[in-house]
Amino acid sequence: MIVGTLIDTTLNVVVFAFIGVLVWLYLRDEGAS
Amino acid sequence: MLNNPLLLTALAMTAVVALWGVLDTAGLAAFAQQEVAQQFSSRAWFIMLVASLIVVLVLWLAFSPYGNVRLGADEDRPEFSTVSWLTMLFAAGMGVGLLFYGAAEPLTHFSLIAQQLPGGPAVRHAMVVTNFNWALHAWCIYAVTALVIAYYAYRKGQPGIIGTPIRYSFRRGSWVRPVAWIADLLAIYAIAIGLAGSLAIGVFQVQGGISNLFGLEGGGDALKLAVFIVLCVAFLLPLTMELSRGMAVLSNIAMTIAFVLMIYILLVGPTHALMDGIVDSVGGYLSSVVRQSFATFPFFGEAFEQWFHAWTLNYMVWWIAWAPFVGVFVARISRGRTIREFVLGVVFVPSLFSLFWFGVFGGLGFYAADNTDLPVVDIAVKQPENTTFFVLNALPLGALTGALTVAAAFLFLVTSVVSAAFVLSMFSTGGQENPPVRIKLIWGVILAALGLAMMLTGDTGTVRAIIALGAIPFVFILPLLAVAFLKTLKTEEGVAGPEEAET
Repeated sequence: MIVGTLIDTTLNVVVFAFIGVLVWLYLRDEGAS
Repeated sequence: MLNNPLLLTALAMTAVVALWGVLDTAGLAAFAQQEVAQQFSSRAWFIMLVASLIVVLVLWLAFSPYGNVRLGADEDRPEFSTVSWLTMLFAAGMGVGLLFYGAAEPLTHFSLIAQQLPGGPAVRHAMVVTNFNWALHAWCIYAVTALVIAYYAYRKGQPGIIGTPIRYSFRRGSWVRPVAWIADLLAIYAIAIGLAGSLAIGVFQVQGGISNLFGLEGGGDALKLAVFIVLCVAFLLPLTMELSRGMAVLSNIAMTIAFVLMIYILLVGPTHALMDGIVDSVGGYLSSVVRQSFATFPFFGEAFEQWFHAWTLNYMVWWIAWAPFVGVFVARISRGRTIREFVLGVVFVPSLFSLFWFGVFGGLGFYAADNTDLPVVDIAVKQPENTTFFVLNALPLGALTGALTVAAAFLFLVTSVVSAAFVLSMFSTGGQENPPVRIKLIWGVILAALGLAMMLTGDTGTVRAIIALGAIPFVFILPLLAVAFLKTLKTEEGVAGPEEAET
């Protein structure tokens, strides 16, 4: 039960972090290449 | 070849899965089902959100000022006339999946929904769910991938591969190259697994059709293997020579057969009932598409949750697995079109066709269930591979239409695998438009081995779980591509604002 909840939470935290990264990537200034 | 780490890694990954499946089919099947169940129960909300936000993004792009941006240089014009282009999009939308699920899917949904709703509303709901699974979402997922490939290849002159937008748009940071490389790898992996899954499902259908035609009882596994071997010979041979024209001819024959079958059912079957059903289910789809787009069925009980995971969620992931493959083809034929034209054609034309197709095949299934003694719903649930043939038997010339269905399914399979081997070779050689025969042949063999592994599971549910396992990682790549594309549009496509445009 605890392991199941832990896996579930981890999988979702990865998604939350991914969404955060997407927003950051869109907003950041790339500067000159 | 030895100095191409992407190709070697992709071949190794897919070969390991194929070997695992052939040597320990039950082990792979159990792993896929368990892993996919975990991913689906934890991330259903995210997968639906990605699929539905892609629909919003694609429609917004068409009607925003970016809709005028051309997929090519500003002075480029479309290579194909609009009619030829639309016909080719029809061809891209057709495939063995439509033949397999045309009647089986609505009937299977009905079997569950009828436990909660009375007959008529249950039929309507079953049709709405089927339409939802096959129309706008599928084509918006394909469209965004094709759009990204076409934009960077034809407007920016970059390689037409999946990692390109990441490399082009995010220029700062040491993570860019490895992430783009992983995106290329995951695209290859998703295509290979997705295509091999379709190959297995197609073999089930051809075997079901032959058994039906010749009244064969038992011996299904031997027949499946025989069909599979013939199929492998049929697609490996063309890979050794330049037969792109021949493949186009075969694909057109398959498409014509499928189209003729649909018209035959519409005209010879209960025409007015089918047309009533089509109009009704399209109306049901349009009125519920927003609700369905964000439906994840929490607190509906385990049966509904499993049904949602096995069908709608699985389809969304399946379309994502197919997206790089269909995307390359759609991008190639759409050079020179504006984003607005592109979206209107790529999203709406095949979607309308799917709605019509399921209206005809599903409608005939429900008509046969209501007006004949045939146990149609039971067959759809227990033997989906036989459903199309079973339903066709409700009309005259059932043997002929059954044989034509087998022929079309076989041709669709051959042409899909030949094209997939080409796209896989292209992606794994950095976007080469004419990849070496040797590499195409290696991919052909890998697809055959993966297809064999999936076929050995003997069950469409398990095949779909393995496909999902291959595609789930790509669910993360698609939003990344969308963000990269939006960022490039924002910084490099100076579009006139509304006030400027008016003056």
